[in-house]
Amino acid sequence: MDAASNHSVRILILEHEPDDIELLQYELKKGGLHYSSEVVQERETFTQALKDFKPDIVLSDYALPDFDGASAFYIKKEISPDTPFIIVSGTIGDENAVELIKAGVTDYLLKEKLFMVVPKIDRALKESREHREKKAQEEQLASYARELERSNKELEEFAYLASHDLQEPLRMVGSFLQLLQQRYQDRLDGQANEYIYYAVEGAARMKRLINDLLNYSRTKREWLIEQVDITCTVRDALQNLAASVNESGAVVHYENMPVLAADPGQMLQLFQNLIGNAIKFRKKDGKPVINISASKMNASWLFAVEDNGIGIHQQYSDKIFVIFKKLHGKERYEGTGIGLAIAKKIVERHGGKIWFESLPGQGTTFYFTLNPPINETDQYSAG
Amino acid sequence: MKPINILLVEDNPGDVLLAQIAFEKSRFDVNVQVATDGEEALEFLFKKGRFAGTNTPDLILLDLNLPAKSGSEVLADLKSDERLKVIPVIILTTSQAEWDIIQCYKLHANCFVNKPFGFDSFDAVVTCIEDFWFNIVRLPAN
Repeated sequence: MDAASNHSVRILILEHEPDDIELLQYELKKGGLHYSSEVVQERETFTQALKDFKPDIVLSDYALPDFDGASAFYIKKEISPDTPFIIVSGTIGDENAVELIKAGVTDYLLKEKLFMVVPKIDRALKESREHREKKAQEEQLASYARELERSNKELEEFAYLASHDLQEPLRMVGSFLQLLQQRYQDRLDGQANEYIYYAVEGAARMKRLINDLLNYSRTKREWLIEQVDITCTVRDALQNLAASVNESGAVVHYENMPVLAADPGQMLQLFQNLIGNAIKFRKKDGKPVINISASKMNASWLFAVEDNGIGIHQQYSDKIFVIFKKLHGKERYEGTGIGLAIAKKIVERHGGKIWFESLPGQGTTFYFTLNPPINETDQYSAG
Repeated sequence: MKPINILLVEDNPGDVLLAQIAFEKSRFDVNVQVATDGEEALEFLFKKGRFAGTNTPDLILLDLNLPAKSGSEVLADLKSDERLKVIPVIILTTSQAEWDIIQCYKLHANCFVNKPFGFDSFDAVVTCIEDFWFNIVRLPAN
């Protein structure tokens, strides 16, 4: 509330000199303030007025016969800590003024400059309001953060428990179907064997799905930041993919990779998923050739993973990042369709975006940005 | 060659059956005793009540997910008894939680093994266990 609004400002005045009271009221009216006031002189009436009158602001003399401004301030601090408190005095002295301001008194007003009372009240009320709003916002934010933290933790626990508990019955299904398949094969006809085959296959696939779900939910967990040499990351990814690299005869180029601040495990997963896909979705009789490049854009790094594979229709640009969504039947390309969903999660966790450009039949380039936290002297790695 | 006695502590009948099938194929003469919960396992090992006069097992396969008394509680009890602590305990469980692994080793489990998916893998694990614990490892003569 301030003078500009229509609300009446409630002022509690602690002053015993009638002349001073009159002067104060005069300046308040002259300043154009809409207000109502109560005047008190002693500790008990002051304390009571704080509770009953509920002032928006207190104007207090420094020294009274049986009381004083400093004590009044501490009483007010107890009862209504956020109410602004202005000392009105002729003889306060600089050290006392500084002490009081340090203790939290909003302002002080010299009696010879009483005309400043309304602007000081306005400013005090404005600051008080802004402080209240800021506190409310911070509390709101903290409350959201707590709720989010709690919700995330719950989700992680749920994902972990669900996948963990799902494994046991699945093991039963998978193991006994397999036993059936092995030990009763001769006693069953071709059709029965075919049924069993699909059942076994289904159980195995479900097992992989659960594993991937567990991994996906874990991707949120441990979150390290260190200096990661991407050259080493790519090298490690290729090592993990050694089998498919050898099988396909894939060639991967990756010069001039940077060193940047990121979570090393997630970087490995990211590059492994993208390179793995590039190899997997190769043309039938082609040798996969993959080019990885990096360039600095302001504070972020832009990576490109280019392949000469079967390509993707641009219309699927949103679908392919959806968890478990695949564009091909499971018979054609193995995998649960989670690789790109994880890649997207990792990129976004690092403050970036991921997208692709592709020509079906010719190849695809996956682009993604990474925004490492603040400065760090990002450089190109030594290789 | 005298038979090897194994105590399997497992509450899931399906898992009990799988273990029995796997040990049946063994080239060793294996006798599998089953306890379906922690209390029963301890009664068996301490030869209480109806278990008086039973053989002391040469090896214990212990699941963690047991009703009432948990596998780790059973483990703690076993490894604090002077006579029983010398019996090798293999934790055989679905849990992959790091915390479970550390806890079990802290409680002096001899090793921690995950139950694999599919019978073939499980069979391979059992064969491995037999080879190691009955062939390579020296156990006390009792």
